[in-house]
Amino acid sequence: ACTSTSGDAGSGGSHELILGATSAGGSLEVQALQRWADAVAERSDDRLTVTILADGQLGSELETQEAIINGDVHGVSGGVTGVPELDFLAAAYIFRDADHMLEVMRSDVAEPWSEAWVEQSGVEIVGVLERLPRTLTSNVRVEEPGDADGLDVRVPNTEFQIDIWEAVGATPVGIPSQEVYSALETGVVDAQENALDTAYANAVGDVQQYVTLTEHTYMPQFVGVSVAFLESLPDDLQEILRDEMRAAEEWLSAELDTAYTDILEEWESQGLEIIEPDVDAFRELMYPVTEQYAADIWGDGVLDRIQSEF
Amino acid sequence: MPTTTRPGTVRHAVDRVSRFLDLVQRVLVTSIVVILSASALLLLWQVFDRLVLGQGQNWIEEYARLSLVWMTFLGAAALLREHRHLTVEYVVDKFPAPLRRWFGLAVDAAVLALLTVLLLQIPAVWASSSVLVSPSLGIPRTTLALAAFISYGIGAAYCLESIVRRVLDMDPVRRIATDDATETSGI
Amino acid sequence: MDIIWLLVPMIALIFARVPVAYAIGISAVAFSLLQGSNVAAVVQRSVAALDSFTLLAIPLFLLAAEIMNAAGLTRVLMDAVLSWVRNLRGGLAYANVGASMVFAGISGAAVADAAGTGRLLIPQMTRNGYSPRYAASVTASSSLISPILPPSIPLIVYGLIAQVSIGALFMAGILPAFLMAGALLLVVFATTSRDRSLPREPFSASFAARATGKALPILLLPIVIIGGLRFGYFTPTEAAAIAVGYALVCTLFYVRLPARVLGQVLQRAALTSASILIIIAFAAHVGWIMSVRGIPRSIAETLSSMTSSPQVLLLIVMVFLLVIGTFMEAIAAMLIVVPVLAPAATELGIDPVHFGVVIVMTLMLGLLTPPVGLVLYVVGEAAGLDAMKVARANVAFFLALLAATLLVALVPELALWLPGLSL
Ligand code: NA
Ligand code: NA
Repeated sequence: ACTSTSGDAGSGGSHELILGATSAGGSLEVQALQRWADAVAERSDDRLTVTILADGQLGSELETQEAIINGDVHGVSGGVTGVPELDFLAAAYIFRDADHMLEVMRSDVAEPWSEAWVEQSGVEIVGVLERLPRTLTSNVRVEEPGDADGLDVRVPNTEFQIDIWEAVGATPVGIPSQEVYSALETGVVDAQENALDTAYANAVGDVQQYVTLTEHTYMPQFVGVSVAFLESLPDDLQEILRDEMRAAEEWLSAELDTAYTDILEEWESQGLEIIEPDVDAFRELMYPVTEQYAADIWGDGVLDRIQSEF
Repeated sequence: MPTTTRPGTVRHAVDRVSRFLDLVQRVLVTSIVVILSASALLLLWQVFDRLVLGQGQNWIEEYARLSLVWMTFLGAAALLREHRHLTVEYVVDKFPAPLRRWFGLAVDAAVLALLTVLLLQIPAVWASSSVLVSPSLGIPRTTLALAAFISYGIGAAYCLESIVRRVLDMDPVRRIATDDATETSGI
Repeated sequence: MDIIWLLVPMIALIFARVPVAYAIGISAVAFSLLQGSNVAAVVQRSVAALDSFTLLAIPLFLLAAEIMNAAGLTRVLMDAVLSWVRNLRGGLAYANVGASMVFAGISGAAVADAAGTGRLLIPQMTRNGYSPRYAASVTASSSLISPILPPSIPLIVYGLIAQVSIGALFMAGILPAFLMAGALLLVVFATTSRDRSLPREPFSASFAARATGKALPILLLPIVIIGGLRFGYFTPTEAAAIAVGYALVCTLFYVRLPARVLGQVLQRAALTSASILIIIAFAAHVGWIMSVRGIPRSIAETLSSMTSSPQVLLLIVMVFLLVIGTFMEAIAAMLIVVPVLAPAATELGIDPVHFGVVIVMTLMLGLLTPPVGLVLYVVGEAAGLDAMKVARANVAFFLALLAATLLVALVPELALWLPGLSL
């Protein structure tokens, strides 16, 4: 029972896509998803409606996926998929910038990864949303890796992300996301690393003094929809869904360009110091960790291909 | 007033099953005590590790979450046997005793029905959870669901036991878990 | 609003003496079956709800309080508090409130305090000329400080549901807890100062110094916990582990805790936390059903169309929760009500931290109102009284706590000043 068929006689039945997103309701990502939903409803004359349930109302990405497999929900938008090949995109210095990331994700390199997601939970990638780069904020001035020595940094509790920060001599600490602000405020940790927009949304600027633009990770956010749901749609609706997603992706990319400068300006006016660090020195320490994991997770040569061919 | 049961009677058989379930209960209670002690010690060590030695141990967090799920579900089953879950007694207490007895039976039956329906979900849960793995330690989510199903299974057995004992008008089972706070005196 | 078919059977089952957790489970599963949706989700969601590092603080704080009670530390604490006020008329009643205030800095639940201090103080008060009803009602009312002063189990649960920092909530509870204690002390003064039948003992500085010295390690524990949280030495869950470790070390100073007693203490902490957490597990699916139906959003729209004043909304919520609190267990009520009400509060610009403190304070008052007032039963048992009798004797204290709650609702700074204070 993937689609709800209401009494819309004559138009071949209507379809509702319920999609759970972990991002906050007001975030640019959710705004992009909402634009997508509005455009899809308009172009399809409400034959296909998309309901976005944001703020993690349906639980984490993995919980939402369980619900997709059960057929209660049809889509998910988030940074974690449970597919090691995709989740590894959060490692350091894989991509030069967001365009590089999008180019790779739309190429044949990413095909086996998306197939792995279909294989795992029957979820197909219909959109790759750009995010602002992951960057370090701190209460300690960090210009080069040596400054991060012994720094307590909140990072996601994932093996390779922990190893990346241990490689620069920091002490990674796992703290639940709703505690990050409080932990920074009270000093349980000195620093955190996250996508700039997420850090901004969490008001990290209120409790930090320095932003070090390490920009080590350009990590995508995936919009996945159940294959069973997609197959239940007539061809024209499938096309509308994909077309409008591309439009939403482009809208988001443009918005993020301005958001990047806006956030940094806002933080500067709040009294934070924006530091352009020695990125090469960070890359030199972090990239070997990425290389070491990449061979295991993606197989030999894939990381090199990403670096050389795109 | 312990009921004396003659060998060969139905009650005697039920008592033998109950003695086996006493053993199950003892295992449950011991397990949750071990899990709680281990979590407390590990977390203390983690704080020491982080504050004094300046190191983080991310596996402790994963372990702690796993243990909380197991402790809760095993504990929930143990509480069922001794009728010690949070309940609202107020309304039923106003009823005459014979009616209360029927309520007791109906409650056991309702909980048994719930647990049976949940147990029937094993294949579905297996299908949708086994593909998902926790991001850091790689623990499959089925490891967590397993705790739930063990709890449902044991809980269902306890409900059946309680129903049979009620129908046969036998004494409630012996409490295995401690009840009263034991304050040591003589400070 | 087919959700009625979920909520009405749930409440009926709870009143029919089905364990609260299973009553929620049965109605959620039946609702899903009737809707033709998936039941496997009930299992998965209950597991996912417990898969939380933060929740681990609950068994650990329960354990710390159990150790305090079992090792006789609660008595040492009470003697110290009493030594300072025994020359006052009503000294034992003041000490009852004071001891609860310190106990609250270690314990996160009212029941642990009501049971621990009640067992010791109610007989002692009765022997000294207080009526059992009065002794029981002071004990019951002052135990409500425990879930407001950090640590607090209901605030942990609120933080998880509303995605609010537990650390901030803990700080926000401190001033309201002092306000509660102050309100209770005023009632104690009003009710005891003219009662000439109550005994007074001369104040002895050396006795007070000795008793306080003996209790010093215990008196320091709340300071370690609150200070450690405020100054960022540890997270709430780590604080819970430290409380356990600290309480264990304290026992070494006073009495050797036999392994058998330690085993019982662990067992009770584990079972009590299981009885709370299993409710959280089964209620997870109910919250989910409401989310998918967009109920939180439509309630938020309805409420914000009714009023644009945060104060009015808070008063509406308080009245509603006082009613709910009389017949529903607090944690279960919070699990169902918070996801629905929090969006409305955000809409009207109420700080979620302030909202959480007001919700928890209001729901805790339900512990003092029959028929589901858990604390009434605990102290009633200790005093050999019917719960209803305790409730009737408790009216003045109840009103004092209600006034404190109202004040916190109308003056957000009472909750928000401390967490917002920069160091
Ligand atoms: Na008290
Ligand atoms: Na407390």
